[in-house]
Amino acid sequence: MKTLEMPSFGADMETGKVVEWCVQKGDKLNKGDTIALIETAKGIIDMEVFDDCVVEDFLVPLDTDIEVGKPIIALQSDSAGTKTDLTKASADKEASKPTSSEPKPNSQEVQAPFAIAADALVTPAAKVYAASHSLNLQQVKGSGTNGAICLRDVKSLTTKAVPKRGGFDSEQMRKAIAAVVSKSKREIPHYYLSLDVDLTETENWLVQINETVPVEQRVMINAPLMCAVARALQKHPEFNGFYKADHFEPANDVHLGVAIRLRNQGLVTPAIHQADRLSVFDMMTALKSIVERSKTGGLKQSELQDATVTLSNIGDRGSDQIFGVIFPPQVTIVGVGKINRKAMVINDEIVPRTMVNVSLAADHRVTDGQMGARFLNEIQKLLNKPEKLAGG
Amino acid sequence: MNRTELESIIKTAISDIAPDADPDSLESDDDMRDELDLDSMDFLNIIVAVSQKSGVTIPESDYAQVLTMDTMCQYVEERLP
Repeated sequence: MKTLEMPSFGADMETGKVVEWCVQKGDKLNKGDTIALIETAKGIIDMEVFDDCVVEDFLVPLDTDIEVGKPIIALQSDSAGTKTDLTKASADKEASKPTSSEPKPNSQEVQAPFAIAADALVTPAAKVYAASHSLNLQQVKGSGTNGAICLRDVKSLTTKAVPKRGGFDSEQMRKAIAAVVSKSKREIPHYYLSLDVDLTETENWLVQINETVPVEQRVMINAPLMCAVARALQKHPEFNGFYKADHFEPANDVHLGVAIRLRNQGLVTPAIHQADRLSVFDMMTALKSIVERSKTGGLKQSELQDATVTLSNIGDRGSDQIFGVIFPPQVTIVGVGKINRKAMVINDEIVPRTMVNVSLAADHRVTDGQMGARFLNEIQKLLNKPEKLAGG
Repeated sequence: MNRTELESIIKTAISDIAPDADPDSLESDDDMRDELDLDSMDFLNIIVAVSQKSGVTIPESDYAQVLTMDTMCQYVEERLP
């Protein structure tokens, strides 16, 4: 038997609450399946399993503050348990028989009529909620494992998609950020570079693309910028990875952490996985997805824990330039400033160009300024030929 | 579709995208991005919602013409099908 602990989704997280178990005892799980929804100050996060296993027992009650690191669920290795899959067998269990850790609903509420497709996968908590609110789930697309309809899916039918922010303490967050930044500045010998990058070619190319697609499929200029950064990192792996135990370990993939400001509620940096392999169109889809889920819930544990590098875009806030603080154990943070039309001299003529400042804060234990300059210039080179970013 | 209905569409879009923002606090000539602290993704989502509900597509090149409640309403009103 092994246990999984309350995970940490950032230095400013001390406790979390299990608000829903997405599995039942005896369920067989595959790597990547969502087992629980964890409420943190940054919203509701999908907790995943990282190995095939079978659910043995729940170790903590729902809706209770649990310290980071405390065991919350007991699991058996795959071969040891029953082979009940997280399919209809578990989802079809009666909603009126919730697990012992769930609050018992009012029986009258449970008996209220509600509609559900015969083959639908629905977690018990979602069933209880749907029954108590007489909700029709026949057209609902589940966001859980194997498409199971979770509590958040049914709650979104009755309320605006506003993430729960219980327990958020801005003063605590400031202290936690200060602790991380102080550690970073104390231990990591930062150096800084910046380059004014010409986005004119990229902008012109995007205008053509966006004229041909429906408005909801438009690509923002952030997408090719992110593609260029990710591909430059793939070519310069010394900026992509972790500094641990006195040496640098380059990462195999570029998992691009994107700093996303939550409206007055702090900051999250979920990762876009294997970002160097994405086309601008796939990058735009991925960006929309993590921004949406950062604000309304549904980020996955892996997205919050395995960024290999961070990108911070301060341009929307109207600043020309940002010099970031590296998030340890990463070794690089790339900053993007405000996009401006500027008068530039090209071939001895003054011409208007679309410019953005791209900055680099990197770890001197791993790289130096010459390498950093090459990395930044690689970004410019990639953005000069945006059509090449169209393919994955 | 009259001006009141257009304003309602825009305010609903803002409320859906930024639930804590108060679109009623907007002066007609306020830049809604600055006033309501909307980022570029929020603004794109408002453009999408307004385009879909009004039937008027706002091209990227015209974003600068629709930054306030007043100018967005006027822009859409003039192009209503």
